[in-house]
Amino acid sequence: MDIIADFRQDMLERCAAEQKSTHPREARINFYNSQLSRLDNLETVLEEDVLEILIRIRNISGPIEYFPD
Amino acid sequence: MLGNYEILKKEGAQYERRLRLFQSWHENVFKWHENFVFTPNKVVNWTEISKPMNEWKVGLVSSCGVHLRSQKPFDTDAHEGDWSYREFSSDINPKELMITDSHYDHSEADEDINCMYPITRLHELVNEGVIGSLSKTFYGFMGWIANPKDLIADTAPQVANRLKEEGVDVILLTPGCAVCHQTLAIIQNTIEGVGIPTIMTTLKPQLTEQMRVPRAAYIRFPYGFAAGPANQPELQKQMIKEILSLIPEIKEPETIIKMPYRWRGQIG
Repeated sequence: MDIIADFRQDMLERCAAEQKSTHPREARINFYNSQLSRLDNLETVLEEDVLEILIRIRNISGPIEYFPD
Repeated sequence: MLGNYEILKKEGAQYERRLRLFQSWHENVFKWHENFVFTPNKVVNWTEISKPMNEWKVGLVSSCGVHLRSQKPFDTDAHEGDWSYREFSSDINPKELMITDSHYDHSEADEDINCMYPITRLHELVNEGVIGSLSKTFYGFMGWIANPKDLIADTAPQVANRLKEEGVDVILLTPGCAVCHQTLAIIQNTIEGVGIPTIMTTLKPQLTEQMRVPRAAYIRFPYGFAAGPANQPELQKQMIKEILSLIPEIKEPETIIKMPYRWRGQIG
């Protein structure tokens, strides 16, 4: 999640820099925005699927803390 | 949507996914606990709150296995579970509380009880004027109850009636393990049935929606963190405040709100 946040910040900064430039290139701005959209999709997959599976793994292994020796 | 909060819908791909997860759990739970009896609430009770939040007398009930260190621990080996409850003053030092339940990892709650049983956070909300006061007595159950028939007939109504007699306005409920979610849903619905609005946190929405409860707040955390991450008091307080504030906003029974919090702690 932190890596995605870093990617997103990088894309936002590049997009902002391009928009502020003397001659903003629309193709670059479109590319940065499309990358942001892909990052959003990836974050959703990680949140809804991967995180949920990781939580389930932790939940199932939880009772081992209390198994008799 | 409810303001900025997502309501879990009982239709569409995400619901079908949760339903498959529930069915998978339901098939497998009997492998671990052959005498488990799935007991959803047949009728969902509903009580609305009319007072403003800063006048509420708030109670706290959990199925996480919480009790005073000086009280008899719950029986985690009982074949059909232990449907007894423990009661204690809401003014006790949280260090006097402990958890007895062997069905989920509560090691972090052993260090910070507020991540399961947010007693300190509720006192802080009173001091800040967010809520009015706390009930004199708080309650703890150990939620691993394979067959909840005696919970339904005996102890859940006892606690509900005591809360009613004390004039409590609102009850917050927190679960422990998976089966604890069933136990808590039964307790919640019983309390709502005596005329007290309730909200439970859920870590397993696929089970909570099949249990059918008045209101629930889904937080995407593992078992052992039903009231927020350990040792993060400000975040715990924010979460509890938001969850309580949902009570007057939810207008229909069986509403589960997905809270905007995501687990960031260790998995292993």
